[in-house]
This record gives sequence, C-alpha cells and structure tokens, in this order.
Amino acid sequence: MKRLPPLLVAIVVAATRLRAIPRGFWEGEEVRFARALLTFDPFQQQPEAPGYPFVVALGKLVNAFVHDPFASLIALSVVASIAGAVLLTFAFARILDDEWCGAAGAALVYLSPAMLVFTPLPNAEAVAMALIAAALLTYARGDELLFGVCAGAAIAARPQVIVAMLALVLFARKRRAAAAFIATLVVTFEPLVEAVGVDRIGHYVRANWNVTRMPWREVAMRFIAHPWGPKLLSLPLLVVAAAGAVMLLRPGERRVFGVALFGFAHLAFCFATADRMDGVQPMLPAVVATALFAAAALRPIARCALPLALAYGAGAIVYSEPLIAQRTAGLSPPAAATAYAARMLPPGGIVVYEPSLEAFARDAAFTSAPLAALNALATRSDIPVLLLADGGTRAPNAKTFAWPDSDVYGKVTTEHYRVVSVIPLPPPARYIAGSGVFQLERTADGREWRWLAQDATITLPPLPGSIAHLELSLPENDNTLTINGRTIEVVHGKTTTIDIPVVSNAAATLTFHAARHFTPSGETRNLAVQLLSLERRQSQFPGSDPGN
Amino acid sequence: MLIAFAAIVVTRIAALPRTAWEFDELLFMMGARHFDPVAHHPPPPGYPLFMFVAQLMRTVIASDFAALVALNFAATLIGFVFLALAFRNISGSEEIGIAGSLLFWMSPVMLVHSTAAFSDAGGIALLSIALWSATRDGNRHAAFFALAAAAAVGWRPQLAIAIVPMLFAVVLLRRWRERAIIVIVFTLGCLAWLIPLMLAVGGAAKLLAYEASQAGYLATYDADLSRSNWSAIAVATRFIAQSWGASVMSIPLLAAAIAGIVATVRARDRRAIPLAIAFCVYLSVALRVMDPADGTRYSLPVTLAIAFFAARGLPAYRYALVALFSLASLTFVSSILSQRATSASPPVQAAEFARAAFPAKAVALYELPLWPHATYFLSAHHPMRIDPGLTAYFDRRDVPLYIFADGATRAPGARTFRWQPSEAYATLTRNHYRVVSIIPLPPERRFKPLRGIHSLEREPEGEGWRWLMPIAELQLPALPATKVELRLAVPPTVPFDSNDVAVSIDGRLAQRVRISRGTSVVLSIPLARPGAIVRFESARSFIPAEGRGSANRDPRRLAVRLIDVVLR
Repeated sequence: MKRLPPLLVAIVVAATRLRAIPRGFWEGEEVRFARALLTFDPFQQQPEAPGYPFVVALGKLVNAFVHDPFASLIALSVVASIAGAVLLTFAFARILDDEWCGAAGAALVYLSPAMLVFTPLPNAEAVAMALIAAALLTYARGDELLFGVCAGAAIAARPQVIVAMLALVLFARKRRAAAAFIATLVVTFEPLVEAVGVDRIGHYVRANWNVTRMPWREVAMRFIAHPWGPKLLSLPLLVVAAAGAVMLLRPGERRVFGVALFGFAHLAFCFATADRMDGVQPMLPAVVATALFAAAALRPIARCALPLALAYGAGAIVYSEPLIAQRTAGLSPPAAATAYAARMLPPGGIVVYEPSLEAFARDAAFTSAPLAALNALATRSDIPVLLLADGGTRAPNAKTFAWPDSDVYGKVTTEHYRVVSVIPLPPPARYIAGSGVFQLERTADGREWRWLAQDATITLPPLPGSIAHLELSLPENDNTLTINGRTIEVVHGKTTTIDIPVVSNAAATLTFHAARHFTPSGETRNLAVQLLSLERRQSQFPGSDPGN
Repeated sequence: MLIAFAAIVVTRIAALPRTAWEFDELLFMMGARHFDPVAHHPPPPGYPLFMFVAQLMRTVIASDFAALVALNFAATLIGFVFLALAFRNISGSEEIGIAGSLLFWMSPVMLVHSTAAFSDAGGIALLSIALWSATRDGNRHAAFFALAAAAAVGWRPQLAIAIVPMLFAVVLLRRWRERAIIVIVFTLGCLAWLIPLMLAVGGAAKLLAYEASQAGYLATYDADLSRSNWSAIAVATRFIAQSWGASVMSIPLLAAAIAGIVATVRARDRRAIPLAIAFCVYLSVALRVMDPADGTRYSLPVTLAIAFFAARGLPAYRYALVALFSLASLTFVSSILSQRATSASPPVQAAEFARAAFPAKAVALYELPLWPHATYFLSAHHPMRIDPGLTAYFDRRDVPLYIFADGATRAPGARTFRWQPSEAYATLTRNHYRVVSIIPLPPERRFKPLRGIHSLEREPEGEGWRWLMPIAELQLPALPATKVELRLAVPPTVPFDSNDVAVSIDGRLAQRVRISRGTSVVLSIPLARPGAIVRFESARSFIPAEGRGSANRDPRRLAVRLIDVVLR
C-alpha cells in the first residue's frame, strides 16, 4: 500500500509531461541551453547566467547517447519530473507521517499550472525541482551526507535557490551535510568558474540580471498566487495552505520549519532579485512550501487528500491546456518566424533581431545582428534587411506568427514570444537614429514606436525621395513638436502624419524639439513623443522636389 | 564484468562516427584500399599488420571507413576484456582489473578516438593481450606474449617504445627457456609484418630510408618546431593530464594514480614491473620527442598505466567512483560524440559541397592539413597544394580554382562548414578540421608566388594570411585590370612598433607605407600592364625563434602579412 501513492503520482505526472512535450524551442533560454550542450560558453550566454552547470552536465551526458540537444533536454525534463514527483511524495510523506498526504502535496506541486507549463521544457526547472525534492527527502530522513550533496547539486542546477538552500543547510546544523554541500558546490561549479574566470564571475552574473519594476501588489500576486492558476484554483488552495501552516508550524517541528524556511527564503529572494517579466518561473522552488502546508491541512481527511489534489490538478490542466496545446501542436512563434526569415532572406541579407530573440537569431543559419546595427545598415542599401521582432506589426509585407492570447500565457509565462514578426526593412525605411531616439518598442497587437526625447536628431541616408514621411503619436496628453523648423501638434490617441521636404539623393538630418516632455515613474528616460514610422518618399507633386 | 562490458558496448555505439574526420583516418582508409606506404597510404611508419587486417575486413565490408570503424569497435571490446584480465592478474584483484580497464576505455581520449578509423584501438587491444599473457607463467604464455607484443608493434609501430622495454622486463623476470621462446617468437612475429612492409616499400634499403625520413620528420617537427610556445609544464599536462578531461576530473584521478603507485611500490609487486617500465620509458620519450599537438592520442600507453594505478589507488567505493568518472567523461566528450554521430565532419561536408558546386575541370587547392581529405574525396578536382596550384593555374581563367581551407574565412562567396567548439575538442584532438571552408579563387584574386612568400596560414575562426619575407615578389595574372588592391597587416605579436613597406610594380616604386603594429592597410596601386610583378620590400623583419625568452621555434624570417590581393 505504501507504494501506491507515489506510483499514482508518478503515473499522473508522467502522463501530463508526455502530453506536454513541445514541438520546438519556445523561450530564448531553451535555445541557449541546447547550444550549451555542444559548447559550454557562459560568456556567450550558453547557457544564460547564472550558468546552471549541473543541468548542462546532465544534458551533455544524455546527449552523448541521444545526439540531439533538444530531445536530450526534453528527455531529461520528463524523467526528472517523474523522479522529482516521487521523491517529493516520499519527502512530504516523511514530514507529514502520511503517504496519502505526501502524495497529495507532491501532486499539488507537479500539477500546478506553473509546473505544468515550465517543467516539460528544455530548461533547468524539472531537474532543479527534482534535486530540491531529493534535498528535502534526505533532509527529512536525516541523511546528512546525501542531503549535503543534493542541496549542492540543486544550487548547481538552479543557482537562484542558493539563498533558500543555504538557509536550509544552516538550519539543519549538520557538519557532514555542510561539508558535502560545500564539496558538491566546488565540484559542480568548477567548470563554470574555469570557463568564466574567477575575477569575472561577478560581472558575468550581473550582466544578465534584470529586475523590471512592477507594483508590489502585482508582484505579490504574480509570485504567490499566479503559480497556482486563476483565482478559482489559487484562492482555495492558498486558504487551505494557510490553515495547514497554522496546524503544522508548532515548536519542535524542525523538519516543517526547515521546508517553510526554504520556501520563505526563496520567496524573499525572488521579491528582491527576480525579473517580474519572467512570469512565475523564478518562484517555482517556493511552491513546495505552500504545497506542504496545503497537504498538511488535509491530514484529517488523509484518504481524500490525493483525490482532492488530483481534482485541483484537473482544474490546473484544463487551465493550462490552451498554452500546452499550442506548444505541442506546432512550432512556437519565434521558432516559426526564425525559420521563415531563413527562407525569405535574400542572399547577402542580414536579419536584425530584437534583444529577446537573440538566441533564436544566432542559432539560425543566416547572418544576424542586434538592433544596434540598424544605424550602420541605414547606409547600406545594397544589403537586404529583415527585422525579427518580438511582438506584432502593421508594417507592409511583414509576416506575423502568433499563438492566441490566453489567461495562462499572461499570468504564468514570460510575456515574450507569443507574437513574433518578420518585418522587411527596405532602404527608404531605414535611418540613422541620433541623440534622443530610443529603442524600438512594440505590443503584441502590432503597435510599434520609438520614443523621442525632447530634443532628438535623425539622419536619412542619401537615397532618392524628396519627402521624409513621419507618423507620430502619443498615448496621453498632446504635445507640440518642431521638426526642421516646422511645427505640428501631436494629438494623443491619434496618428499625426507630416511630410518634411528633404533633398533627394542627399543625406538629410531631421532635428526634433518638443515643447513638453515627461519621465515615467520608475524610469530615467525623458520622453516627448512616439515616432511610429519614418520613410523617405517621392513627392506626389512633380517639380516640387527641392533636389530637382 | 558483464555490466562493465555492456557499458563499453553501449558507449561505443553512441560514439560511432558518421564519417571520417582526421588526417590519419583518411590515410588509413586509402591504405586499406591499396597498401602503398611510400605514398603514405598508410602514413609512416607503415602499420603493416593493421593494414593487412583492414584489407581482410574490406573483403567483408565494402566501405573503407566502415571496415576500419568495425575493426576498431571489435578491438575495443576485446581490448577491454584483456586489459581487465591483465590488470586483475597484475593486482591480484578482479575489482581493480575491471575498474582499471573501465577507467582506461571510458577515458575521454578513448571515448573520442577508439571508434574512429585510427590504429590505436587495435594496437592497445594487442598490447593488452601482451600484458595479460605477460602475467601468466609457462612456455605457452611466453610464446603468446611475444606474439601479441610483435603483433602490437606491427599494428601500431609507435607502441614499440612501450613494448620493447616491457619485453626486456618480462625477459629478465623469466627462466632461460621462456626467455629464449620470447625472443625467438617476437623476432619471428616482427619479421612476419616487417617483410611485407619491406616488400611494399621496395627493399631493405628503401625501408631504411623510408623509416629514416620519418625519424627525421619527428626530429625536425614533433620534437622541435611543433613545440613552439609549449612550456615543459604544458607539454607534461598535455601528455599526462588532458587525456582525462577537465581538471575537475583529471586532478582527483591523477591523485588516485599517485596513491596507486605508492601502494604498488610498497607492496613490491613484481608483476607490475613490466607495465611500470613501459610506462616510464614511453612517458620519457613522449615528453622529449612527441608532438604535443598529437598529445592525448599519442600518450595512450601512459594513459593505460595511469588507469591501472588510479584503480589501485582508489581506497573505497571503487566501482561507484569509476562509474562516476565514466559519466563525467561521457559528459565531457558529449559535444564531439553528438556532432560526430549526427553530421559529416566539416572536411567531408566541405568536400561534398565542392563536388556539387564546381565543374569537373576545377582544381582543388588544399591546405596541408587537408591533403588526405582532398586526395580521397576530391580526386576528380585534381587536388594540388596551394602554391604549386597557383603557379600552374594563376593565369588560366578557364580553370575554376578553389581553396580547401582548414579554418574559417571572410572571403566573398566562400562557404564554411563547422562543428561547434568545446573544451573536449580543444584538448583531446589536434584542433584541426572543426571549421573548414571552400573559398572560390576567381581570376582577379589569384597570383603566382615568386619569392619570399610563405604558405597560407589561418586560425580556425579568423582570416587567412601569408607571411612575407623582407623581400617578396608575386606575379599578377594577365587580366585587363587597371589597378591592384593589396591588403597588408602587421599583427600585434611582432617585436617592432611598425614596419615600412615599399611596393614596386615591375621594378618601379609604386607606393611606400608605414604599417603600425596591430593594424592593416589597403593599398590601391595602378597597373600599367597585365601580368605585372609586384615586389614588397620591408624595412624590418624578425625570426620568431630568436625572440628573447620566446618559446616559439619558428625559424622563418617574417616581415609583414599579406592578407589579400585583388585586381580591379
């Protein structure tokens, strides 16, 4: 009978993971993990910082036999998910003294929308969660040496759990565990440190560390509630978990306090450092504490615990299905767009990519360059240019690849890669962005713009066309803009167009000055007006060309 | 033993390459088709027994490459078993035997090389048989030992450096009757492969000259020039440690080996003496004369002995630790195995592209590391070395030329084929052939080197260049061009701040330029007639080998780099 609960959990988790195997890469980090299996080069972001050395090592080991980095990482994730669910069942059963409650806790973790979405992917999550489960099990069993090894390996699989795992190791107060923990860290991180260099480790970790700002209430919702799905699923679960915490957190319950400390430490770490734009992914390790408390609350009805958890899991599966179905049905928008760009790019052409699509572009067979190259390419009308854009577009001749929007995509994922476009940039639409011209921004529905500061300059390369056609806008509040001495009113919420005469076949500089500007909260940029598009055109009135 | 054997089988299947890749593999493939040692099929010093068995294998398997790979696959399995038996007999422990053999065959260097079309797997298998029979008493085993030792040398003659001292040690440890048997059987066994080799070369005198030329090459290049910029510690690291992978793997393993050596010495174990002597002699020779670039593969007998001592030095959890090391080893070489199994090697990809892209009358100009690949895969394109090919065809607009280059290029119209880099590739292989390019050489980019122009060089990911001597001359083709563009560079590594270069056309000074260290210049010089001769005179030059404190042994006199020549 003792084997039945973990077996049931393993079967359910295996079924959900096999159902959710994606057709291709979806997020940039996945491409980078796959590239790391062939070339471990942290400075080229293979893999992304902070390195994940143990996942790369395991992936390489599998790939020695599978010979396909994507398939190797997927296989690793599926196996790790099943193993992790079983290990977590044992760990929770040990802590709660009940196999059915243990299985319920593990099922809650592994069937949560966050885990359903992120663990079947070619990334570090499933392996890291399995190692965390192993660390919790060995901690609960008091197996010092193995606990130290598993805790160290978990950090090597997902370095972001360092604070939580360190707290647990310190809380355990076991010398042998600490020694094994340190030894494991030394061995697993040695290749990373050797590849990066001791003196450059700090720079390497900081280079990829972005914390996009967001209101605290929204952050709390994102990190605490969203991993569990919509309100209908998360609210009851969090209430039950709170009740379980009250029941469980009593003096003398060291094992429970250890798991709670792990969860809270990781939550605090995420609040302080995690990128809000990464969705709930950074929070995954902390869900084990919530699940433990929720399972603890079910102890009085232990035999019903697993069915209740599976009922929650069924809801979570239904909730996650729109995204998982898309992922399993075909290529993701970035993968499809990259393949399309490779087919459509004329010989000698260059694909310019937006930052979030760098991994896809660099992995492709075509020549690629970052957005910063647009200025240099403005003067090279002989080079065809395609823009690989993370979002929609309304540009003519562009092709957009999109998955339908869904609640699970918005709440659980990274907010990137749902809509990706391939936009041809013909020479008349290219220009040299001077001072006061900010980077391209766009939305999924196809709005795109570059913010201009109060004073900005743009240079047009020498091409035929006696008119610079500009489209401008503002989301709120009107502004007055002067371009090369011509003044116009830019009305908010509308598109304002203006044609500025320029000399055909000669370089032209456009100088912008806005009457007003503002700085959005949490930003340092001084913004005045949105430049929607700029294109050099022929005059519609023959003879009016100042160059003729 | 069965589990370990199964692990060897599974890992070798995973390590099977899709195509040939390295220099020697192609020469062995040609040798398996037609044994012609003088034409370097196979390369010196001849490998007569290996080629004989390979030709037998070719009667069963039609493909040269598949025949050699199948042979090595079988040799690996046999080698694993006999090495385990040998180590067991030497140590008196089956656990040490299996662990030691597993360590050796699962080492990164063997995972990469044992399934390729080299002579190593078979040679090591025969060496293992010799080692095993050396540990057994009796006339029959003495004869078997001598026969296996002779076969190992005939299979891979470089193993003589380990086997001959081992033979002496075994002879000294035996009774007179066994000594006589060993000497006689070994001599007869060696004659059995030496005579066919001698006949193939063309007689005893020619065989001597053939082997002497190889020895001369060894003395000039492997023991000298190839050691440019290699410190003694780097050479030792290359031959001793790098076979074992990353430092996190090799350091604990070498520590265990040291513990094993201490334990063996303390135990005064006579059965380990032949292995220890072979190890010491081979290591000394390798450190003194072998090419460090060949490093890990050429140090296999050393690796084998280290495997034994490491297995012996492991205090506890022997199987678990060896299994852990094996997994780490697989992880380390995974990038090479994966790419090699799923894609043709870059030279093969490039050759396939060239065959499809160029007409039959095209001429392939190969860089030296790609000589065997060009000979084997591009024979229809009349392959030639670059400079003789340019001399012959620089003025033949009707003959398409292309360079088969070992490295990347930025030349227009070129195609580059590559495997992704990895630490394993950089440390376990000779670091060639990871990036290979086909560079079309249109008439306006050709010239005939007349004097003072060294061969084309390139870095795997960088551009190619030719070093010019202080005075250098080239002839342009007779094309209706009005000017020639010359790109010259002075790299950051030269011992002077700048160099003054005077460029003359047909004996008349056309332009004088100062090139600062670390920069390049493009000269555009008008031409008065087609087929002009361009002369470069540089004010400064240097010999890398004469640099103060330099470990570089390059004896050439170098002045400036010629990057590109284009007629406009």
